[in-house]
Amino acid sequence: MVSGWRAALVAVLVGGVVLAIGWWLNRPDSPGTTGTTDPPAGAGVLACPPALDLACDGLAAEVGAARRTYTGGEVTEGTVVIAEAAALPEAAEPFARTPVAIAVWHEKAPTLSETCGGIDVACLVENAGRAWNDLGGSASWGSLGLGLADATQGAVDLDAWRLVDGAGPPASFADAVRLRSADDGTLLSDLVLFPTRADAVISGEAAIAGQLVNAQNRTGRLDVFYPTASGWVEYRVVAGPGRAADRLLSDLLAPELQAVLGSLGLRPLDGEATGLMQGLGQPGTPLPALTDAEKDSLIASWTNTFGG
Amino acid sequence: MKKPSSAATALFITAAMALAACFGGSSGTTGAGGTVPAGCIEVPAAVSSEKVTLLTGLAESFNATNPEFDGACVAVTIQRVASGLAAQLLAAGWPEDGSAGPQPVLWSPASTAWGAVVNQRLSEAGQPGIANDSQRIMITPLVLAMPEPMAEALGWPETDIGWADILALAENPEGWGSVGHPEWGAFKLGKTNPNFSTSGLSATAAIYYAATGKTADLTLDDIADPAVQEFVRGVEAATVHYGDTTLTFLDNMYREDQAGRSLTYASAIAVEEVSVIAFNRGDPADTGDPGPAPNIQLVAVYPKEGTLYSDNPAYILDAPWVDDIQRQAAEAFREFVVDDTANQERVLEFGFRPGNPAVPLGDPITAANGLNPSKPDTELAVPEPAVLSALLADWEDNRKTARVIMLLDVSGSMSDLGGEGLSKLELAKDAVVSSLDEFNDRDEVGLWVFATQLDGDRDYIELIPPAPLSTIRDDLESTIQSLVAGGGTGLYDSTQAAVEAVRDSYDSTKINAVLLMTDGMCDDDPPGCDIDPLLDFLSSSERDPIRVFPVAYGEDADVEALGAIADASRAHLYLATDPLTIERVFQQVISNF
Repeated sequence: MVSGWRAALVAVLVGGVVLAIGWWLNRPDSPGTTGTTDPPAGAGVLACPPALDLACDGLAAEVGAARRTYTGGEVTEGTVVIAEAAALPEAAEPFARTPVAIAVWHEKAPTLSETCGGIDVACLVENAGRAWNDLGGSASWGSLGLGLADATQGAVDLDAWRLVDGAGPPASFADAVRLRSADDGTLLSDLVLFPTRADAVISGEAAIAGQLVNAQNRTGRLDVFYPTASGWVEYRVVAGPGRAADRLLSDLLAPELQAVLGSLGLRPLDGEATGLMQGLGQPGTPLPALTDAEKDSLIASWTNTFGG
Repeated sequence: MKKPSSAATALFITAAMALAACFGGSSGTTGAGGTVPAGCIEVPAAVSSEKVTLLTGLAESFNATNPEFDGACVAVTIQRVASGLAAQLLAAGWPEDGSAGPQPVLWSPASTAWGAVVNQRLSEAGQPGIANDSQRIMITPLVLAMPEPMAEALGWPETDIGWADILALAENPEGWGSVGHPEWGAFKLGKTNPNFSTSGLSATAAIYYAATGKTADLTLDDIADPAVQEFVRGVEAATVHYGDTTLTFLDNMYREDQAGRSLTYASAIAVEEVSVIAFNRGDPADTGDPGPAPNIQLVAVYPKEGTLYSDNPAYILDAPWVDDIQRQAAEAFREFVVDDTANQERVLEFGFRPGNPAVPLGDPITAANGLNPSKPDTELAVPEPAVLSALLADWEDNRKTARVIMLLDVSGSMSDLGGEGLSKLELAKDAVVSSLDEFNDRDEVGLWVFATQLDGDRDYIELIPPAPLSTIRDDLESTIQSLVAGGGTGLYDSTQAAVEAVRDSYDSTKINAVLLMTDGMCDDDPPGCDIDPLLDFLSSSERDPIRVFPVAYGEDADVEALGAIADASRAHLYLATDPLTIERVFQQVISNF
């Protein structure tokens, strides 16, 4: 849980981070956040799911690779993929990690924080669907709506649901989840495009970090909060056939790149994040990895709540 | 209620959308845009009309990069296909013979609802869905486009305006006089038919939501609530007429604006936000060739009760005719359109909100263009299919009804061959009879025919006076089937007589109109073929005109004269230059009522 003064501090830090990201994105050799780039001859292609757009655009720019979106399937020649472990072959190597985080529209965060004495998952679950007017906010905001990504599709989304499920959502909870998306990248993208669909989302920190600047530029500021404890999901990396892919993989695993992951919305496998992630605040302590039985139970709980 | 052909399918998603599919919007299917170099593989894209110009330009840019996949060069071509029509074609397997254009690899309807339609219909047929892999190109919210002085009279922009305000104004006997502008007459709403148009469907759903005070989870009980129905009936009563495309309203509004009369044509039109920009550019049809800027610009009112978005997905179809190279090329084109921020900026230039969140909103989505990029405050959830089905059926019961004279040409030329071994008259008779299902049973329909000297010196004759369709359907069908062709084309005096008849019995609670079908040019005795007196007559009543919807039938029809008649009466001209299209065109015309 984040206390009131700490929430204010986080808000200030987020403001600074937004500026930092803005600077990073606008530096002279920036590729933009999602641009598809053509590789220099012989360079590989870096493919990532939408949740890692910010990180992968930055990494591709660092190593001179082209960018593609990875939507699953075979890792093709010349391509290196960074994704959750379950989406990749067993040979994939650990690359980075991300915790679960909460994003709340800046305008509404103080009201919610005041209501709960800080913002955490329990606060969101307990108040989901309640009229903002009753929470001390504006009646024009309607009711507190949440956003979640499909917990049956991704590890980080399952970890987000793990926290919600643990908070004991009431029977009416599903009605308050006005934004449900297929994955965490789409969830955050939808939140920016359709800002009235949800007042807060619980998702992977990397996906949230990837949309902070877009939200600021397009709609309004998002504030980031952390549960006191959450699962941390590992992203892995794997190369497809070909020397270009091998070279690109080698470049991506170099210590220098691990050192800048924090500025790209990811957390390094070991050690503290610097740059952007450092500024976002302190994530919760890692929870033990889910067992298969726990995963099955959570998926069943998700399905019971939202349907198949 | 309509007859079972319109209501037979239980779910709206297979009924209303199927109707839309059958009749598909005014554009229907038009030829592919873009050329395919010799030896290259074509990657056809079927897109809804509002983004044809945009995507044609982007396809040209993409093709200019000489894209190759697995060693094969490819070229993306763009084909205009109305969303509903495309949905029907895809659900039916899309004809291989090219009669509906090339089988698409990429499909971009106005809304993902259409993708759900296709998949549901395929599922019902025991087939897997083909609209699964989608990415959003752009979004645009439904708004109420109002002439700026009218919006200001309601307190805009300081005061939020909603459907409830429109209902109050529409039901006030003083009309605009209740807010100090009696010169504007009654409140008039332009709203398309939800069975045909995505905008119309979104607006209708929004009205039902407004009646309940909800923003999501509309239920069957909500639809059946008498208070909700009364609200809907009240708003619908303000409708000028319906129709298959918002372009009819925007074109008419622009023309009236140029004549200094826009404030008496319509008070508000339910359209997508992007249409407001096009209108204010002086290019309501978004042709890229704007005319003079309007004298009175439209402003976007984002209904305070909430609104829906058109989300313009780009599907790469999992269809059997899509090969691997085409799929790769379509994926690359979609990335080119969505991921490349420069191309998303082009999307913005056209007035859409980019689907890529990395592209901020900016010009032309500005206050100067009558828009508010920070609106809407509330987004409405798309109702569940079963609720939409009930909503559409209920709308049929509560919408504004019509009083229409069908004025049909039975001149000698109608006996000419129209196609498939049938005369034009035979084709028309079948089309009219089958299209009667598209009327509401409460609509009052009459039948007149014209040629020359059918009744003494008169070129026309009333066969059946207007009466509720439910009471005259059998008589109407048998009378239509008994028509024979002969004589000349006493077009103008017959048209004027039909309009006079409707005007003499004008009913302000109904849509009062004449449906005119003719295959030729006026060949009456002098001065019967001087069109000016007719045009003066038609335009003589600004406030409550009798609208004449002409159908130009066959390639010899006088399109110019019929267009002038449509314009003078603030209606819309429909073209059936290929007689075999007459049934589809008739259904489009009747969508206005």
